Amino acid sequence: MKRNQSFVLLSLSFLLLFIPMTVAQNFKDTGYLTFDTKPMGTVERPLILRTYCPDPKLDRNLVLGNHSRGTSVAKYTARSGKENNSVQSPIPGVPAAIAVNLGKRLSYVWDTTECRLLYAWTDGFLDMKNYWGNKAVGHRKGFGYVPELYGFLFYKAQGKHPIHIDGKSIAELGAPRYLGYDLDKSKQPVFSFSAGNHTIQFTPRIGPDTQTLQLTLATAGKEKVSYKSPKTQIREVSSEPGKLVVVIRPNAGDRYSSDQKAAALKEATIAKGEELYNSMGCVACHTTDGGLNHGPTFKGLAGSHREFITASAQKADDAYLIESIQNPGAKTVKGYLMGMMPPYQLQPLEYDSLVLFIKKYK
Amino acid sequence: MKSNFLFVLFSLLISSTGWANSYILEDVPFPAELPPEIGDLAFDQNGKLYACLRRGDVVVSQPGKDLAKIEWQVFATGLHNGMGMEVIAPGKIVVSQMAELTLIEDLDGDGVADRYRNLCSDFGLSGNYHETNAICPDGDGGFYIALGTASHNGPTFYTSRGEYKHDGRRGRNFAAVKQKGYVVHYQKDGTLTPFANGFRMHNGIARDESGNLWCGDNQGDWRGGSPIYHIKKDGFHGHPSSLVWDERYEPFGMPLFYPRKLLDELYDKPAMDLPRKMMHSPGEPMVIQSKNFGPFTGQMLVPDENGRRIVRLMPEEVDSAWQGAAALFYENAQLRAGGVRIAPSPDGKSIYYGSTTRGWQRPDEGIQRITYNAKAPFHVKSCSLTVDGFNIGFTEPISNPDKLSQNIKIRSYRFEYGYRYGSGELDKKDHKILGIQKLDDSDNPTWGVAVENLAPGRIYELSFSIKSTSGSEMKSPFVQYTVQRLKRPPSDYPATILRTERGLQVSLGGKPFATYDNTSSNKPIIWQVTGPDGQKMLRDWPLKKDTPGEAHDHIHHQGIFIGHERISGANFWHIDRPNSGSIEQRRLIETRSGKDRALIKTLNAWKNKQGETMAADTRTLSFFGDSNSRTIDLEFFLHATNGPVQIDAFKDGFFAIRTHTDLRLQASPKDGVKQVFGHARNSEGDQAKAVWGKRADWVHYFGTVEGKPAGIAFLSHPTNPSKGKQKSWWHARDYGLISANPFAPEKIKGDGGRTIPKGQSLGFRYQIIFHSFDNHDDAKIEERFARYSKKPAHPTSIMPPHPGYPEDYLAKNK
Repeated sequence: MKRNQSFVLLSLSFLLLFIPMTVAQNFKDTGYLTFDTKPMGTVERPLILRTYCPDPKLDRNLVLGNHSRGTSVAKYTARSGKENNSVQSPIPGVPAAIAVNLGKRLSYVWDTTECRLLYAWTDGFLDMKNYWGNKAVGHRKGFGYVPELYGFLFYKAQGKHPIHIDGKSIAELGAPRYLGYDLDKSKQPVFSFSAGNHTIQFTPRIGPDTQTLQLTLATAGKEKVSYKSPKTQIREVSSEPGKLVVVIRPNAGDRYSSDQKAAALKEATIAKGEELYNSMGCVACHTTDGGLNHGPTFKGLAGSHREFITASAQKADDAYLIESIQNPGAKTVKGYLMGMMPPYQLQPLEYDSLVLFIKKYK
Repeated sequence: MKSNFLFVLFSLLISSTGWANSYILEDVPFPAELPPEIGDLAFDQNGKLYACLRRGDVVVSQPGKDLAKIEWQVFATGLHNGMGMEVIAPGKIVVSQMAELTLIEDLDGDGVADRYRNLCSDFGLSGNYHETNAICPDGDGGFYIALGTASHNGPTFYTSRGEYKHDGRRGRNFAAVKQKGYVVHYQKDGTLTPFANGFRMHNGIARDESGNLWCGDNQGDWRGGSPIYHIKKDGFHGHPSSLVWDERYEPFGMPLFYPRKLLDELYDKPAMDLPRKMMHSPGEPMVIQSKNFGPFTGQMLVPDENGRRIVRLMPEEVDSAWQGAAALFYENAQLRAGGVRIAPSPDGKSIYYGSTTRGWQRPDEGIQRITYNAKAPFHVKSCSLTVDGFNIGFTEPISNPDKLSQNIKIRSYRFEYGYRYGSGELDKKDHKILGIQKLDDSDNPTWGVAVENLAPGRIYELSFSIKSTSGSEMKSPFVQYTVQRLKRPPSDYPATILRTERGLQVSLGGKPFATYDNTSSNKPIIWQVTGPDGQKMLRDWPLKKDTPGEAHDHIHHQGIFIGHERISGANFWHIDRPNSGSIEQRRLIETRSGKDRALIKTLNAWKNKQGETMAADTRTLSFFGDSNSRTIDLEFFLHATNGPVQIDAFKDGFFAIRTHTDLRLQASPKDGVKQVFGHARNSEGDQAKAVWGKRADWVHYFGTVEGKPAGIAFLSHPTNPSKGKQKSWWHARDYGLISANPFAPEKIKGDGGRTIPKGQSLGFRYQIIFHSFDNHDDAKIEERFARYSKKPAHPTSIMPPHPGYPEDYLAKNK
């Protein structure tokens, strides 16, 4: 409790020190991405966010068929130049999509590789904390940095690309090419892409009912545009040469929450320490094998004699190790940069787990 | 009382000599809600400052003298970690974000962008957080894009954008998807072509007024320090992960596990390699074009991504590549950590310094302005390499110039090149100053400093304990000069290289010397060679068929060639056998010319009849000469890239030359060779035909060619590997073949065969001299050999040993 309070105070004073408080008048109106890791737009002020997007178990062959497949690899140690027997697997995610939010009414993800709508939801958007970190630490989550979807997912793309031009599926015209988007008067995007010789404009908008989307599909010429989908899932609004308007109905109903309550630890363990080492980003700067990096290696660290830039030398006992995680600015080991490492506020048993983990590397 | 006084005095001294006196640092205010994570900074022609923020916004302001009045407006939003931005015109910018190069325009003139056009997304995106991109203009409406590699501190996605290669996913920083670790060229017609590779995380790229491209690279694996690269077209800049996307290296397997010597041979070394006391990963270099920002116009500034400092770079072109000195330009605890971009102000008096740290350091981000205060800091203004040392100029006249030689300390070291993260200072040396010379009579002259034992491939640190005549002290009083190459001395016989259809034509003093020919034979050869008096020194046949008086024997004797009768089952000597293989040039690694010698370095694949690659070679050929001799130096490495290289014992090999018919020792009337003029002897005193099958340091053929005195001496360097450190075994025939063969059968007193283990390399050095004397004594071969024996090899980096191949050591663990 106390730790949390001092943490907030620390962050605040940090802000006061470093960021002069001047806010331009029109800033609030325009829709920018702030320190808030749960950014939201409104219908009047849509929010467009390009980021790695979550993959809510989309069909990788049919929906993400223009993507290549990541593989698992043996882990590699730069210290020895060798691979080892442990394996690093890929994680789910969509690399080049665009997320759009119109407040609680609608969020959707449109993908520039598949050139199609991937999924849509209400009551939330993307929680960016895994990717952006918090204001004071600013570190992404090691191997789980993909933003988290939260809200009620009501639509998920299924099957091959639904758009047909002159009776031919887009999927048969080769990989589509994303051309860009324009913002119309509603400040919402109108996406453009080409497939074969056709140029298609794709305009997703809030549908007439909750949890619906209206899509306007227009081609540059007068091609016949059709949208192949089970009848229960779409309603055609209008159709004319070169233009089709359909309403998409819900085909999914999944509640997503980004609030993962950390289960209280009962005891400190090396395994927990290792998990924290990987998930909090320690691994980015501290090797465990004696290799050089931004921070000192963990190998031989515990119990060793440490010399600091300003503080007097001491033995790396448990208290020192915890202090170095909690308040790393207190002592900086000679040869390293001061102020490099952010402070990490953890549960006491989490500190202890990290200490156990560090001690493993003698 | 006394200590107080001293303290005041000390403070005064600091304020009068520190950075603060020369450059004023101010914070540029930013809205409190807005994370000032600077991806890039640039001004438009109206003096508006665009700041590209990593979360996705581009904001705009018009900074005036009083920064407190600054107002920011959002221009664009929704960009994924944009780290490169160019302003095309007011309201029109190009941003490189993770997934694409995007043109962003305000079409209706309301100050807010409404069109986001995808210019290019033809590069991959694996889902790794580290694959950030930076850009600079190409001067012709297009852009160069620096595509960073992925980090092993994060995964890829199951679904990646663009082609994916498993081998590219391996290693520490990796290139699982296309062109990570490259600089690519986006041309205004929309095409994307590879430009250079071998980068790790080149966070920022800049083009100078002459069109040179510059970037730094993050410290890390395969990086000794923090390198600064002059980006070489088609070059390899040291980090091997990206090579999986370069078809030139496709025959040689997994680049991460190439023989270490091969990677070192391929590596186009950085212009500067900055040690950790100066830099912990460079941001984007900025060329100082303004004359209003102090006395350093034409030099470059580069910020430290992890420190509160800016380094000043003084690059120069030496021996056909760029290198130079670096000094700390600005170091200040008030400077924000994590400097990535610097934009010059429109009036040229200031720079805007943008920092970001999110993802690798405690947030301490924002924009700061640094303005020149019309008082130059006392420091090294210029530092350039000379043939025997350095020329150094200072920003102010120095006091006690007569004591300069005692007040400069010079030491040197080198970094190792290898898979490890960073390098310590290896092979440290202190260097004596041999002399100091005042190079002009101005109040503030340039000083020539002669240095003992100047050698290439080393970093020289010059430290100064001097004051200016006005009493200023130097802050961080040192420069680091990365001597990748020595300055070549001037020559009356400058060597030049011309590209022709056949290959590369080398001239000496404006006259033809030799052609490196990789099109006429089934292997790269040198043919023809012209002697000092204009004669042809090699047999023409079979490369030219109608030359009269030549014998048409041994069709595989083509010019100067390298090959052997059996290597891993294939015949690289004869060209017409069922198992004859071929040697294919895969990369012209470099050429150097214009000074006293020309240099050609190539990478070649040794392929068997079926087209399988058995080995790689790298060969460096140096061409130089004077009025009566012309010399070719060869440094050759055979690399076991594709498995062990088994070299079987045969008399027919390895480094060979087929001389002009006139230099034959014996005529052959049945072949139409009626009269010959050649004599031969070797270092051991053997003469004529008796030189065959003997061991010797050199073999010398001499006499007359085309009626003029001429000779050819073939020298084997004493460090060449052989059995029991014996001299080279010679396959030198009376019909004009001279060949050094380190793999001749033992039964004819040769060294026997040898196997190069997979991942290892084997190197040899030879020298061939073409002279204009008709007798042995005048050609002074003994003296030439003594000189050649002492000649140092091409510099190499000390490398950690080959780690072995996962398929071998992982299997053993099981």
